[in-house]
Order: sequence, then structure tokens, then C-alpha cells
Amino acid sequence: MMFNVGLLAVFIIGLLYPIAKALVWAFYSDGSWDLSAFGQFAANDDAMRSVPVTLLIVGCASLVATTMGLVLAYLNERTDARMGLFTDMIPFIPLLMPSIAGAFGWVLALSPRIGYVNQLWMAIFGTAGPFNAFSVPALIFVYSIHGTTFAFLIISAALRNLDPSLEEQSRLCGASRGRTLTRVVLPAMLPSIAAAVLLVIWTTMGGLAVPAAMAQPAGIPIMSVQILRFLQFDYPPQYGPALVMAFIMVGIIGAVWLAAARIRKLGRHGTVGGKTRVAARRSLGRWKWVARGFILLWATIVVLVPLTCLALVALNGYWAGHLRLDNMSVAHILSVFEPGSLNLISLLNSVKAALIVATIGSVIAAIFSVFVTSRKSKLVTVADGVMKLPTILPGLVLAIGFVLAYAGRPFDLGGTFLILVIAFLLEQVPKGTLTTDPIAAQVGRELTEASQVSGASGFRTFWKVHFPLMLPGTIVAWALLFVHVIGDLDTSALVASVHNPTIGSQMLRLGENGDYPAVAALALLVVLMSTTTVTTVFVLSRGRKWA
Amino acid sequence: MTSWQAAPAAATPVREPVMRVKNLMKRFRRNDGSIVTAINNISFDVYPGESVVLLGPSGCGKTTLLRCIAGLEDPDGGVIEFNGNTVFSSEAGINLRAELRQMAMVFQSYALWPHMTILENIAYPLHCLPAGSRPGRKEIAARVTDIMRKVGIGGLESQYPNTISGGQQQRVALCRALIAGTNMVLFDEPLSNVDAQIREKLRDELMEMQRAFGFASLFVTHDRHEAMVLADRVAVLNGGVVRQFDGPTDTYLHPADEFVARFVGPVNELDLSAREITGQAGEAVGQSPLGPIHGLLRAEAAADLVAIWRPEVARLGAEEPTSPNRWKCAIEVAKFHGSQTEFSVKVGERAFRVLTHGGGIPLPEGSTAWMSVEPRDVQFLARR
Ligand SMILES: Nc1ncnc2c1ncn2[C@@H]1O[C@H](COP(=O)(O)OP(=O)(O)O)[C@@H](O)[C@H]1O
Ligand SMILES: [Mg+2]
Repeated sequence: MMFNVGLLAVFIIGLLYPIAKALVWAFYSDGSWDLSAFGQFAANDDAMRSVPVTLLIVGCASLVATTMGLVLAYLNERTDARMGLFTDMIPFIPLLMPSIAGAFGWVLALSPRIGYVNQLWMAIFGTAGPFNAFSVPALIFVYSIHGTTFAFLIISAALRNLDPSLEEQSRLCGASRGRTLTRVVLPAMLPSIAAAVLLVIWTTMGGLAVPAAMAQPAGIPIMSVQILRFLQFDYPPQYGPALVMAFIMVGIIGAVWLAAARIRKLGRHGTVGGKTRVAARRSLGRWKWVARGFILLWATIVVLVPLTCLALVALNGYWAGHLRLDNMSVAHILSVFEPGSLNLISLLNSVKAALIVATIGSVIAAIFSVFVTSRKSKLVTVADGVMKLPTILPGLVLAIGFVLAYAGRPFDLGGTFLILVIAFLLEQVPKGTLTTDPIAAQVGRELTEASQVSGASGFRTFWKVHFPLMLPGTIVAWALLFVHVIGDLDTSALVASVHNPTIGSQMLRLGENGDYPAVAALALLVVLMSTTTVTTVFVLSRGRKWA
Repeated sequence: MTSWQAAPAAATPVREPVMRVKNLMKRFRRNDGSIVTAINNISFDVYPGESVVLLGPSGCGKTTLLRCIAGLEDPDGGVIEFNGNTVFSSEAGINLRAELRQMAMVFQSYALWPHMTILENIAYPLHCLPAGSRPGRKEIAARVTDIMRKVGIGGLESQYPNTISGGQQQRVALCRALIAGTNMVLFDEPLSNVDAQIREKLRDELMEMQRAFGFASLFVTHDRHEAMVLADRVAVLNGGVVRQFDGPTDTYLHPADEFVARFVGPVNELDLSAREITGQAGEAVGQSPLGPIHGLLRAEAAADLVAIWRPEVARLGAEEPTSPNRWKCAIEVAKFHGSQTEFSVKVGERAFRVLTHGGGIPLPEGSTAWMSVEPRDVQFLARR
């Protein structure tokens, strides 16, 4: 009990201190309020332009993603084109293909001339391929990929909860399928669809991977990259304008998130039944196979294209105009990790950090969840809300705070392994609680109290009842945290450096230097480790004697 | 209140109670800031081997009372004694934690831990005993097997709770409650989430176990049939207050007030505007909308009164009876149930129910008849 309170308090202080430090740093200097940071921001053309450009591109990507998500969800929930495996797989795509690997994979695929898709086009049609990774449409496309999985999840959940009798009623009234879709289903789904649009913006806007790999070389100003430029390309780092941008980003993201939460609530009032019958599936006839082909094509493009390109470049050891299959060798990948090289150090650092953070973090998340769900006081609710801030704020923004708070005096942790662990823990534990909270709630009050009444101490109750019941969920949280840290770029970009490199920071550096074979090798390893972890946990979580 | 301090018929007066609750108070602050008094100055006791049932409508504070006793909720005032030890006393500043009270409780959901086998579930309280008094592994296993055999679930040791039936789960929960040798078990509506058909069977099993093992029980329910069957004594609760604490027969025949009368069984009632005492033993005549009615006064003088009688004490007949309480009535509905017949009748615009034994009374629907009730069966109770 005291232990839980202490742990939560330390965590919240660790989180609020960087935020407070960032506020003070940005707007306060030499004992008085100082708003010159705004001036510096406004004076930078790229920075100013990046706000509308980012919103436009992310907004378009979100519309594309939501449309795709809606189509996929409708096909899966309301027609016989449904493929169970696909539905089960879709939430895992972002885990199997972390955006830092996917983004560079798309660069290798769509670069003008030498991108493999363009090379393929050349080989087939004899003319130069039309794709350009360093363009606004390509950026929108790649942004929309992760957004689609997200939109799909939200919209198919909403479709499942939509009472099918609403549709049946409409058809009994004489409306055709099409009319029912446009007059009944879509309007009823509108809140969920709108929420999906906003939530896709929320998840994609703060990310660094896609714009760093694609927008930066193209000279398209995107906010997250611009923040990075203020801090890493300028010397000394310009914290003032970077923080101003960070606050603008938080403002937009916060507003978008709140609006989405509002709209989603509306949507819930709209669905009457709650848990209802499963809707009858519409038979598509021959079109069923077209629809299935479309679904499979999408999944293939999203996963296989970047993966194949990464593998080709990594195994070839170079990336050039002609694709040669005779030169492929694992030795090329191994040569990237010479002993003592930054590549190897970054790989080891990331794996070590991921193991530590996943292990400590998932346990802390489980402890927090048990504590928070078992105590319903206002103070605990507020503390829980504050603790969950990192699930809403972009990692890049938090990273600025972490650097400000812990890299310099009095902690002087800059460039150390410890600061990586601290930053990852502060960022990832709250994300872990999103997984462990519902499981703690399932454990319920009576199972705990039955243990108490049986004479068990608080520790015994945790160890014998909570821990084993929470273990499956905690293992899932462990896998999520591991995958997040291994594939992290947003935190690494600022907290890691050449003194404490991570895979993310190293890939960023290598990408700037054009060393794509090394980038591909690291990306491939990230995919490999993520896939192995996720599959193992998936298999493990099925082997329980009790359910 | 009739017999607050009366010892139960089952227990001899010299015996000390297993549990004694005195002036217990518990308030909650709702989310909107308002205060709810869930338990308002409740006192009662439970004797060895006795079955006490807390009966009341949902929200009357039954669960809260049980949780306060178990130590899962902190009362605001009062005393709780268990086996002669004070486990809670607001004045003495004693508040033993739940795990130290050595009480046993069967939860509404049975709260069997899904990840432990039946054996592990039942053995749990033994493993929680302090190091000095904890039996060895072998003895624990032997004791668990023994008690499981006694309640008739031998052989289920290595099963998990989700693979056994609801009835077996109840017995597992009971074994877990009894394994450490407690002499009293708390039950929070353990029969409320099983089907009506199984419920009676489980209830009878529970009584059988109690007889076999001899533990005292404090049983919470909102079901009056369950309460009547299970109880040696029933405490009828409403609004955090004990309205009556009596044997089931007394509670049914001599309810303390209108609320208790209605809650423990069906009633006929007539409002009284005035009453006059006519005899030594509380005989009285009241003024009702149907004219004077004779009955027994069972309320304080100042109370707002209502005359009450049960459907089965009323009589119906074609001939005019001699009883002073008789009314000409119209038979609206006659339902023949086999062992009894249930009539809905009307006197003017007022509806009454009459239950008669057997069938064969030639009173078809639509006919007129005489309804009567003896004065000793009519009670003038305080309106609530
Ligand atoms: N934790 C709580 N917070 C606020 N009010 C509560 C709490 N627990 C119970 N109450 C209130 O106390 C009263 C009694 O509740 P309870 O003991 O659960 O009733 P019962 O078990 O008889 O249905 C109810 O009005 C209920 O709303
Ligand atoms: Mg209750």
C-alpha cells in the first residue's frame, strides 16, 4: 500500500518535473517572463510553414486512412468477404512493422529511379517509374498506412456494436441495400468515423519516423522534423522555438484528442442495443473474391513491399540502379555490426534497454493498474490521469522535457544509458497500463477480498492472487513495451546520442549520411525481433490451463 | 420492537454469542457529495450454530453490514465482537484488519480464484495461518481431501473452478470458508446468481452442511422465502435500520410494522382514521373506510395506523358469518392452485386477497360472497 503510493508519486514527479522545466525554460529567463522564443519561432520560415503543411498532409492522410479503414471494416463485418485471420492480424501490423522500419522500407521502394518499385516498373514497361518517395503524395500514402489499421479497429468495433435491427428495419420499410447503407448505417456510424479521422491525426502527427525518412530529404517542412532541426542542426540547440513548436503540437493534438473523445461518446449514445446479435452478412456473390483480393493486396503492399526492399538492400550490402540477386549474402548484414562499431553498440543498447524497460515497466504497470482500479478516490483518479499523460502526448515532445530535466544539472545524465532507461520507462509504463488496466478490473474486488478474509497479508494477496491473474496481461504489456523500445525513434532522436546510441538514433544518423544498407540491416533486425516477440507472446498466451 | 434481546429458541441463555454487533454506524459520501447512512445504529448477536438471516430490499445496507463485520469496510462507530474478542470498537480505537479477524465469508460470486485448482483454493486459508500454527503440507492436503469428501466433492481436487458446476462451486467456497476451523460464516446472497430451479436445491444443501458442521451463519438475502427457510432468526432491515429481529414465525405472524408485514409476505390492509382500546391484551376497534374493524393494537399510541391481515387468515363463504369483521364482496378472480385457491375479491372499490385451503368452495367468478377475518388475526400496525 505505502509502496504503491510511493511508486506512483515518484513516477508522477518524474513526469511532471520535465514538463515544468520545459515551461520555465521556454517562457522564463533571468527572473522574468520572456516570450522571445515566440519571436524566434515566427522568424523561421520553415518552422512557420511546417504548421499548416503538417496539418494538411496529416489531415489528407487521415482521410485516406479512414476511407480505407471504413471499406476494410465494412467488408469484414458486414459481408461474406470476411477473413478471420486478417481481422486478427490487423492490430499487429504496426507491431510487426514498426514505423521506423516501414518508413525506410518505403524510401527504398519508391525512390525515384533506384527505388525497387520504380525499377520493377522500368523492367516491365520500359519507361521510368512514376513513383517518388520524396513527394507529398508518397508522404500521405505512407502516413496513411498505420492510420488505416487504427481506423479499421475503431470502425469495425463500432460496426459490430451497431444494432443490426436498425438495418433490418430499414429494409423492411422497403429501402434497398445501398439506400440502407447511405441512409442508416453511415449516419449512425458518423460519430465513429469522425472520431477515427481525428484519432488518426492524433496518432500520426507527432511521429518522427515517416517525415525524417521521407519529408526531410524532400525539403517538405513537417513539425516533428522541424523540432528536431532546432535542437540538433543548430548549435547551440534552440530550445526556445523548439518548445514553442512542441506546445503548438500539444495544443493541436490535445484538441484533436478531446474532440475525438467527445464525438465518440456521442456515437455511443447513438448505438442503442449495446451487445446485440451479430448482423447477417451480405453475400457479395462473385464480387466476394474481388473484395478478398483487394483486402489481401492491401495487406501485402503494406507489409511485404517495404520488407522485401529492406531485405534486398540489407542482403546486397548496397543499393544501386540494378537489382542483382547473385550477390545476396547474410555476410553483408553481419559486416554492418563490426565489433566496436556504433551500429553494434546501438543494437546492444536498444536490446538491453528494451529488456530492462519491458521487464521493470510491465511490472510497474501491473502494480499501478491493481492499485488504481481497486481504489476509487478522487485523488487516485487524478493521479491516474496525470500518469497517463504520455499516452496522449507525442514522444518527441516528452523527450524534449526529459533532456531538459535529466541531461543537464543536477542529474547530469546526458549521454548515459540510464537516461535512456528513465525516459523509456516514463514514456512506456503509462502505455503498458492501457493493457493492464482492463485485466486488473477483471480480477475484481471479490477475488481480492476473498483472499483478505482468508487471512492473507497484502503481499500474499498480490503474489498469489493478483500476480498470477495479471500475468498473461503483464506478458502482453511486456511484449508491447519491448517492441516499442526496440523500434523507438521519437524518444531516441533527442535522448540518445553518439555516446548512448539506440537503433532509432543510429538509423536516423545513417539515413542522413545515405548509408542505406546499414539502415536496412538495422530495420530488418527490428522487424525480426518485434515479430519474434509478438508471435511468442501470442503463442504463450494461448497455453493456459484455466481461462 | 418485540424481542430484541430475546435469546433464540435454539440456544440456551447461558451460552455466549459467537458474534455481537453493538450500535454499528456506517456512512458513505456519494460522488455528488451527499451523505448516505448505510448502517444506522444496528445491534444484534449470533449464537453458536445459529443461522441469522439479514433480510431487506436492495440498497438497505445488508452488504455494507456484512463487509463491516468482515473488516472490508471501516465502520464509523460501534462495536463488533467475535468469539469474545473485540475486533472493532470506535471508542477503544480498535479496528482489526480483515486478514486478522479470522472470519470466513462466502461471496456472491463465490470468488474462487480461477488460476488455482480446487485443492489450492480450499487450502489457501491454511497457508495463510501464522508460521507457528500452520500445518505441514501433507496435513493440509489431508484436511482438504477430508472436508471435500464430507461435503461430497471428493475427487475434484485437481480441477479448475471454471470446469465444475455452480453447486460444486458453492461447496468449494464453503469448504474454503470452513477449512481453518472457524465457527461462523458470512454469506452475501450466495444463491442470487443461480437459476431458480437450482437455488432451492443449493439452499437445502447449505442447511444440511450447517447442521453437519455446526457453524453459525450470518446470511444476507433479499428473498423472503429463502430467509424464512434458512433462518433461526431473521433481522429485517430497511434504510440501514433493523426493523425487527425475531424468529421467522414471529416475524411473519407478528410483524413489528407495516414495512415488515409487507416485506415478509402478502397482506391485506385498511387505513385507520381513529382507534379505541377495548380490552386488556391490546384489543381495539379502529375506524376504517369500510366501517369499524376489530383487531389487536401493536404500535405506540401516537403512531399513524393501518390494519393488516394475511390472505390465508381471511375466510370466504356464501352465508353471513358471525365474526365482527365481515364484508359482502364480489369474487373477481378465483385461481385454483391444487392445495389452495387464491381469490381476488372486491369490497366496493377496494381489492383484497383471500387464500383458502383446497378447492371445492362453490364461489365462481362474478358471484357475491361474505369475507370475514377474526379480530385476533387483524393487527393495527404503525404505517411506514
Ligand atoms: N462504496 C460506497 N460508496 C457510496 N455509497 C455506497 C457504497 N457502498 C454502498 N453504498 C450505499 O449504501 C447503501 C447500502 O448499500 P448495500 O449495503 O450495498 O445494500 P444492499 O446490499 O442491501 O443492497 C446504498 O444506498 C448504497 O448506494
Ligand atoms: Mg448487496
